[in-house]
Amino acid sequence: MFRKFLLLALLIFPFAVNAHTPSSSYLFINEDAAELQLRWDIALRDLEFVIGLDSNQDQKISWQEVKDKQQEITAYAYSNLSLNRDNKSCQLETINLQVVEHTDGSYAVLKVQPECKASSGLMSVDYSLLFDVDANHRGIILDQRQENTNSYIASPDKQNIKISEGKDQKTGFNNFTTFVTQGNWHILIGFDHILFIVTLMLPAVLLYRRKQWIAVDEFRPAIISLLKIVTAFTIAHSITLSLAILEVVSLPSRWVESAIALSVILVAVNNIKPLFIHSRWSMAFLFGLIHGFGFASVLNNLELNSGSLLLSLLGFNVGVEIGQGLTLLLLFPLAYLLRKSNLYQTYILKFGSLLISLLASVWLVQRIAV
Amino acid sequence: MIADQKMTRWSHLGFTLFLFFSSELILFTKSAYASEPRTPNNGSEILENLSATSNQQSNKLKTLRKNLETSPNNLDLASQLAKAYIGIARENTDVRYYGYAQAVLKPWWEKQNPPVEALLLRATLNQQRHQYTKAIDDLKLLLKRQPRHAQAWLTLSIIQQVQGNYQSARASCSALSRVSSIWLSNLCHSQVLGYTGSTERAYKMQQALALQLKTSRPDLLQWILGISAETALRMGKKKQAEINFEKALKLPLRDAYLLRIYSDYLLEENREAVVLKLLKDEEKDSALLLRMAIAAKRANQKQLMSDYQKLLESRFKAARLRGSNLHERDEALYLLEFAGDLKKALKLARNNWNVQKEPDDALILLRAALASHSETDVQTIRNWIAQTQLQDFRIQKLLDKPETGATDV
Repeated sequence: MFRKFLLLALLIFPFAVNAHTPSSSYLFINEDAAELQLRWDIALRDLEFVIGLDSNQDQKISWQEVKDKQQEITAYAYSNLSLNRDNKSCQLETINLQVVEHTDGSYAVLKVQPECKASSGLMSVDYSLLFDVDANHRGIILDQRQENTNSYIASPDKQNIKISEGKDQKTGFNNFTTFVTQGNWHILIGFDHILFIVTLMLPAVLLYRRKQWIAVDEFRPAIISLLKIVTAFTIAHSITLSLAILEVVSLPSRWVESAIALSVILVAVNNIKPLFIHSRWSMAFLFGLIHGFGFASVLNNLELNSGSLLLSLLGFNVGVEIGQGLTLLLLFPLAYLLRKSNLYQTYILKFGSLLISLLASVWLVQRIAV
Repeated sequence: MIADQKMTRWSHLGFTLFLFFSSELILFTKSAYASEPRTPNNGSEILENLSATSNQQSNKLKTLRKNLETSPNNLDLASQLAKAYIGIARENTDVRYYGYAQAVLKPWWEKQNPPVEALLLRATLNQQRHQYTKAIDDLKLLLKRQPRHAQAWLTLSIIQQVQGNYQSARASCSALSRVSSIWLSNLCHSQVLGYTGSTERAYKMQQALALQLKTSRPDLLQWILGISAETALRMGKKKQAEINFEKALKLPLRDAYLLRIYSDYLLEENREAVVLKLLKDEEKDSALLLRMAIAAKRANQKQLMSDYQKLLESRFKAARLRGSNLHERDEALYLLEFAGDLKKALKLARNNWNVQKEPDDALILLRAALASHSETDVQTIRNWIAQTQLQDFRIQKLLDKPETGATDV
């Protein structure tokens, strides 16, 4: 019985422990002055398995041991990769051998200069590295010639990969427009941001004199007051949005969301009983800092693609500005036209702000209680 | 005056744009996939530590590999080598070796009806990749041809348990009892009992099984003690769980699964400092790395937390690049613990639940559901418990008092 037991014990454990990731290599495709450049990262542990790098058998791989095997490494690698352009294969020439650390260990880096007969045309890759010995190996091909990285997975079942030629930067542009839409969308559905800026806008067509609101005479001071607020808000949220995306500062989202609700309450109360009358732009700035963190949590959730961060972040911000601008463009002329009426000064400004502060208080309670 | 105002407005705009582009530049140079390639200064610099395989072991492997190269269709050689690889994969928790094992079995991998030995190994490898349906099909085919194959019955029962198919799992345990030892079939039955409401009885059986075990098998003993601790935790008996954990950890083996369930327990008990110490050298294991990140967060060790977080995120990213979904449960937990995208967490927890239904899978789905206020998913768990009679203290606590830890913000 015990013999059987021993046999069983090999396979008995049911738990799939996914320590270490399975093997992947990374093939980066780049272009420098219209010349193709490849960078191929292959795990040292994989090379050890197929070629044997650990010459002195001390269970450690040193840089010297890797260098000594450069010939074998490149011979093995190139016999398992072919790059074709316009159906003609390219000659692969190693420029140098380096190392790099990936999340699961050290990799050998082959910088490769392909010599292709055709300078344009459809590119394809035939990849078979390690497939004969490791069925779980995957070749990750990352085409970085455009802002957007396109990724492809070569597997034993799919060894021929066609690389799409999106030379017109269309993907990058699409990505930009996506993020404009997202930013725009966020300011529209992110009702708290729009409410904040509208609440700040309401008194821009008025002046506070002798403890009461009076209408401004001219358009010019009203629009200047509004522009100051909008600019301050924009600068502030751009700062914190950038800081958050850069991971310089990170705040818990519950805290941020509650503070945003609180900012709406304070601004609304300030409309009813002004405390910071002359520096509403500084309120816009101060609270804009908090709203920027709110935007960041949205942007973070949109799966930023590092190759297109520039466009994404810019696009998102442009989207936010467009959403904000459109709303103000719609509401500000109305406010200006109505500014002298009792309807505006009492009902819209005071009762409106009261309602807004009540609504924001509900949010505040909800967000703290989450 | 007007000029002044114009100046300030324009300088504001300029400042805004400056902020944009300067931050962009930094972002842009930050590589997303790996650090920059470098040329080490010193030839003696160690780049990689290999997992220790004894010389005897590696010589044996070499001979097998060489022999197999000359006759790749020899199933006897191939299965010997595949088993050796699977053994190394388990011992060193190094999943690369599962891929090596599969490659060795290539001549039989796509076959409709390969020999029994190939079927068993194929099922084992598919189980490891969470391809449970394929694994079950192979095992059923195998058992049709060899109904007295104990290992196949046990593996089948274990997969059925993972899928939450307890009726079939029980039938497989009974079949196992007809072809194998009482000890093994009791172990099998105790697991099913533990998932279906007879937790107390399961615990007693497991304790008895541990006592009957020969000391020459520390790996099996450690495994049973771990299961026992889990069963005790499901009953809410922390003291018993602790005793079993301690016994298991004293054995001269480090098992990643045991470390994972123990650190989950410690985190529940707010003993994050112990977790940080216990798992210090386990960064390579993503599940354990996640537990360390959580512990660092709770211990308010900001730098450590952010280091672990970055490493974890790049691991998840690397897995995504491969199109792998093996990390879904951990990724859901990560998003819940680190105030990430709750919708995504729920989606991942649901995907995971569609594949496997162990209590830990139910727990993560429940936490994700509560965090996103998804009543339908909470109901899924309630129905599951009603249907299976699963007794689980942690799940029950969340269902009774959902505010106590859906998201630990």
